[in-house]
Amino acid sequence: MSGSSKVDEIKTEPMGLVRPEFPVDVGEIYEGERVRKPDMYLEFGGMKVEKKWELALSRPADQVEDGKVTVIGPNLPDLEPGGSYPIGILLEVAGAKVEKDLEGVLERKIHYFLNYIEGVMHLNQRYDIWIRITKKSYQKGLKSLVYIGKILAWLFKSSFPVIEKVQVTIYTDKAKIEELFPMAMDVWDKRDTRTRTLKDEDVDDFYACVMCQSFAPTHVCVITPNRMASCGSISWFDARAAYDVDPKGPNFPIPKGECLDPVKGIYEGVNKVAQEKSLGGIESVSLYSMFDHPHTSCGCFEAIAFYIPEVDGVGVVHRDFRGPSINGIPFSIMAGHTGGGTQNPGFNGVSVEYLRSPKFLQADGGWERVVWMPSQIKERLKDAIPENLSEKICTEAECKTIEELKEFLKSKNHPVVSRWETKEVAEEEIKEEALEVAPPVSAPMSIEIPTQGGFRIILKNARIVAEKVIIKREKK
Amino acid sequence: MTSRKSIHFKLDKLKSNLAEIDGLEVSIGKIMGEEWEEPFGPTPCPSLATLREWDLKLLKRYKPFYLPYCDVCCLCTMGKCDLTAGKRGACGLDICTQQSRIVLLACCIGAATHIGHARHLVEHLIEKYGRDSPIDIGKSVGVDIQAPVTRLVYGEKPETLGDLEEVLDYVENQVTQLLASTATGQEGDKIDFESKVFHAGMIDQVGMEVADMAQISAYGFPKADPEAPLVEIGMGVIDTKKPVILVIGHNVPPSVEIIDYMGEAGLSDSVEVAGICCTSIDATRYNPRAKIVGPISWQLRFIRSGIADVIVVDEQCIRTDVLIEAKRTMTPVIATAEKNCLGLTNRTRDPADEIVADLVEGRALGALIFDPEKVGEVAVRTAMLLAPKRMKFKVIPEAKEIVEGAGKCAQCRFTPCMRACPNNLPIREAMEQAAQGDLEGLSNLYEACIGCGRCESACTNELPIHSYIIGASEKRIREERFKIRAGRGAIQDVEIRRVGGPIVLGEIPGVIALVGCANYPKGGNEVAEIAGEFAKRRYIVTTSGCSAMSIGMYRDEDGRNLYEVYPGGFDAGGIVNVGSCVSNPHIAGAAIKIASIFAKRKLRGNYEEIADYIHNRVGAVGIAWGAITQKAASIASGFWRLGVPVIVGPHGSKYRRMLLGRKDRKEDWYVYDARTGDKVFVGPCPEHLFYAAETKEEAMVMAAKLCMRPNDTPKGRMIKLAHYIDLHKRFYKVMPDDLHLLVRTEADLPITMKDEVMKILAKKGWKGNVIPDPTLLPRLVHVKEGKRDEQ
Amino acid sequence: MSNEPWQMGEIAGPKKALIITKPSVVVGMVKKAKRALMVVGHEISKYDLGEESAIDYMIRIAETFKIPIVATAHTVSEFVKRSCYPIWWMSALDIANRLQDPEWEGLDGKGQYDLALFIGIPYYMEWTILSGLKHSAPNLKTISLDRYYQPHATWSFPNIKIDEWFTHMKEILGQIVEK
Repeated sequence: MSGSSKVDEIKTEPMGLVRPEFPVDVGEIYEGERVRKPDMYLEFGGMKVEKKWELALSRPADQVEDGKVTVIGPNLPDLEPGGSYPIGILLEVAGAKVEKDLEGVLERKIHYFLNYIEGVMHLNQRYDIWIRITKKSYQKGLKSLVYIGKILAWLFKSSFPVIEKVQVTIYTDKAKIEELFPMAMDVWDKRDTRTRTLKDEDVDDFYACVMCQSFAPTHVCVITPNRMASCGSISWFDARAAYDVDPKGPNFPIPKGECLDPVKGIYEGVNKVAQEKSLGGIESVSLYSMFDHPHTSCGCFEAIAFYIPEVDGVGVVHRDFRGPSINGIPFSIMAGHTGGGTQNPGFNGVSVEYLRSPKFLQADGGWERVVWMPSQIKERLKDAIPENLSEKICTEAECKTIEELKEFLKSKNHPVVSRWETKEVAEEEIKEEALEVAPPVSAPMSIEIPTQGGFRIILKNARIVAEKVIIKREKK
Repeated sequence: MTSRKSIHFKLDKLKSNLAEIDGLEVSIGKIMGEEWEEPFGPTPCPSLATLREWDLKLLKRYKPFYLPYCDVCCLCTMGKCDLTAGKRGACGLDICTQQSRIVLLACCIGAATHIGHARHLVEHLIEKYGRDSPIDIGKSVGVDIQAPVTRLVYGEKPETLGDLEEVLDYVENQVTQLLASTATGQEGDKIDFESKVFHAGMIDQVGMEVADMAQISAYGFPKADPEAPLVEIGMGVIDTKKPVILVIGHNVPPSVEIIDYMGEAGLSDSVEVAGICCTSIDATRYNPRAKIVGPISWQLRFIRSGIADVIVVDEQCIRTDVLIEAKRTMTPVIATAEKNCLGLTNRTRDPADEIVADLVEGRALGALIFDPEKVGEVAVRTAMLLAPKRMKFKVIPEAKEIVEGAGKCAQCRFTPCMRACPNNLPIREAMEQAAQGDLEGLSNLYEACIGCGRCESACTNELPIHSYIIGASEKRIREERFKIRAGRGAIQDVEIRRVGGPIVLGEIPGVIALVGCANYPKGGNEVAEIAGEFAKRRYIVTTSGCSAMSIGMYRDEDGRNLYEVYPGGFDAGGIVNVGSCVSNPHIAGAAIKIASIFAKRKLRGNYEEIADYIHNRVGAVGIAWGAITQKAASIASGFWRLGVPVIVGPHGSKYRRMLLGRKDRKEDWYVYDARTGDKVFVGPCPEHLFYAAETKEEAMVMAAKLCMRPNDTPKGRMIKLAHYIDLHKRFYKVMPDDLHLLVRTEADLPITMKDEVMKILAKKGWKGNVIPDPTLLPRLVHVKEGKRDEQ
Repeated sequence: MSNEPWQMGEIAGPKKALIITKPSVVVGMVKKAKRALMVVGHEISKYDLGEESAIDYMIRIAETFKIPIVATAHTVSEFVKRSCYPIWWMSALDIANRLQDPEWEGLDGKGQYDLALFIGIPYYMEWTILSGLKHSAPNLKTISLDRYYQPHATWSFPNIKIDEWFTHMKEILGQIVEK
């Protein structure tokens, strides 16, 4: 059957915003629906299928027929139930304000929108997709991929006002799918190159995200091409698209304004928005430093970059790492110092994706400052870690204590080691300063008053006005 | 942690190497905790009226609607007083105030029960493990904020079992003060009574938290473990070939000692320990080999089945006629709690041999033993010796006997059996059918029967109707073989962090907490159906107690058990069994921790601010579908004061008053925008604080609606609306009529329903609104410099 | 015997519902009322009348009386199935709570009601709701149309059998139509 040149084409009138009739329900409530094997009518893509893809492309208006849905290859009733089949989904959109940069955002929406369909499960993206359709929905009438195309067209049109025309082509013809695959790969390559090479300097506007203000009322996330939102869910492209869709919503542009410090990433415009949205709590934000006015966090950051004073280096620990980090403190406790919309020098809540950024903690030394991270995340980032540093960054597999870490770094001649000598000097200076600036107090005094029952009250700095009294149980 | 008791002392003369003191007088009002740098909030250890202003804010929006359950008052010798419709009693009280007073009385009973339970546990565990035994309910898996409720209310973080005693001193004192205000000639205002009800609930949460922290820490229960083991539940899972010990109640030490004794005596494989009610949940947390028979309503049926060779009762939710029932099957009863002595002789000081002999030989119906260790030994040895003699003697009749018995049914014209039944079950018809040899009618009553036995008391011919229902359902009971996830305890801080993103991004619509007892209008399956529906919709479903059991005792349309289908993590689509009744504060605690984790709000003694945060931001709703007891009332009231709405089943209307919002009164739904100080309309979110639903369908629609909060992001509101609209359309077959009150901006609209909803909004003349940084407290409004307004 | 509460423990206080001995009482009450409404709960579907449906009967009665129906819980779905519009829906507690508020604007914005007929809410829940209204809504009269004695209503049928109840309903309808 496969390889047939069957074409099902439904040319409808231009896609309106009014909900068309579908044989199955379509709604946000189906988003988390899982389709298990016994309930499955058939599947497209997945492990058993070599070539499968989905792709969104922006086209000139004259190349898109609004509302057109075409199925090339066998349609659902032509396929054996229970089987796994190749698929290609091509979404073509046009609109005066539809830019090439929007393609990636739209493409990822295919995942969400297919999941809105009752009895349809969609996983992954690009060349890795996996779609299952339930027996129930098939029996209910979801017997043509044309419906799926129509649903996609309608949802794209309803969600993105910038889209003026949309057409969907669904390929099930194996030969066609393979034929178009290199083209898709080429699009993704170019898109990735663009994403990777786009720098903060290249754009005029950053974006703010205040979605988390619903729980962290003074936190604002600054999203730039080189800094993804701390939650790891919203890139600069996403934020820009979200703003287009809902201009009054929680994502809005931040005109960069003057760059006050290109190394630390301090921008006049960012400071202004941070001051305003934090209600005056935050004066200034350094996008690329964890020491000087670091970026704030809500609570849902994926990882924490934390300072390890003993080695003058930076550790990174992610949320799913169980057990203590190299400094003996688990993620959950450090997270307490990191979140809540306040600046806590030495702690920086970040997305894992930000670790891939060329500006990752650039003011603090970037990757050259990173000394420890869990092996799981190191593995995930292996292509992002500079090659010469990879073996110098320690994980929980190599060291458990700071002392071991010190030895490790020394033995690998990690770049931070060269900072140690200069640092020792600096530290002494700091100590002296600290003594000087300490608030003048009356000479520390401690009165021990014996009481009954094996307790001893120690009054320190006894003002005897309450509140500062500490009672300690005598150690047995 | 240290005491907050004030200290006052004088030193006339002190000579030491360091100093010489003469005539020193020291007066200390409050003493700070050791090694906890967090400063005190404004209200550590609140007394009765400390949080009154917060209560009044809530009660202004959610006014009590009184449903008097009794028109008279009979609490003093001037009565009975007729309080009908505006009449005042001899003391001056009116009917509404009397209802509030009774609610407070109920909540004091509930709080006292948990606190008394906690006190007993803590004392026992200190004796066994020492005062310095550490509190650890999951430190190793990142439960950094332990004891959130205690921190919030009492203002300290307990580190050892000994620390818990001081917390209990405080809560016991509060219950006494609260109880005092119900005396004749005391509090005279209904709203002030309601405020005290909230106080009782808050205090109760502390008491429960203490109890569960103590037992988790000392007994090594699962510590915030999403993968707590699946354990067996149902009458069909009990191995009736073995001697069986049945434990009933809530206070687990005797059960623990039974399990330990079995282990030490090498009898773990030879004896079955099965339980009813929370003590069985806690026994499985101690040892996953223990088994759960079922919720509170399974008592009569299991005792009468004769499967138990010994019954051990501790405290709470135990049928008070347990001794009478057990006598019929020749099962001895061991009572173990001072609160519940059952008229038995105190044998605590007698040698175990003697007690065992008396019980085995039938010289005593039971024994009162206060020493849990001795209970362990006596129960196990008695069961071993008695089982072969008893031969599982039962009083559940065989089919033939039922048919014969039903033939004696007088078919009374006014059906006293049906009219005695809380659920109005058609008993007479079933008996008529049975008399003709068809037991299906009786068997059909099984699901909705709450096992109260009132039908038997009402029967003019004294027929054992409940036993007939059970006997007719024999096959079904044999098939009661299910799984339940053992109570996991607290929610990890990291789990809360992980769901923050999905909640603001609209991937998790809310938290549904299914808690409470088993007085269900149509059976426990309804609770499971609610749980399954919301888990499928990717809500976070939490549960505890009898509700957690009912969720387990169910198979969905595909024959699957919900605990096997849905994971136990605090995440989208999880069904999270926190444990027994006293585990409920872990659910409240999760809400409290959100404020600490995401907004860095201080918890210590900072109740009002945190409650305001939760009420305006945390989309959680409790459902106590079969709430029965005074404990359930006080648990609910602990949630109300935090601003978390609670839905009860139709029987819950007997709790004497509801706390209802009025969505038609626009003026009730304004909050301050903390950013600007402006008053902003936010719609009825959440619409009610305490609400009895007539049907499970209504409860589900309302629960979805009650998850909305003023702070919802557009994406968050979108998914909440999508579920609310979908459930409404599914069960009511019509669109909701209040969407114009719930939609703030067009971005709130679910894309798939946009055109349909926009049409409705246009008809209603809808105009958009800003999404504020919501608070009910003017003092939390920021002024320009980032300082807080002192209004 | 018949004027005892259906659920035997649910005894009322000193003020008990008057018993509806003749259906004309109901007709008279509704005619006398300035503004009346009917509240229908989900147990209406338990009224098994064989061929006929109790809901249809309630609709006919309400239509003939020209009074609005408020369907509680998910009962509204039954009315929607019959395309019975306009129908109001509200939870049992919400409608009761509004009925005791003298300021309430009514379903149609024209003010509070002075008579409410109840049917089909679970006995014990209707019992508590009628109790609430008895005590807190002095200007409201309530009628229980159920076939069980509801002591907290102003007027209630005694405990009667289904066929007897149905006869009463037919008479009510007949009498309104006649008049």
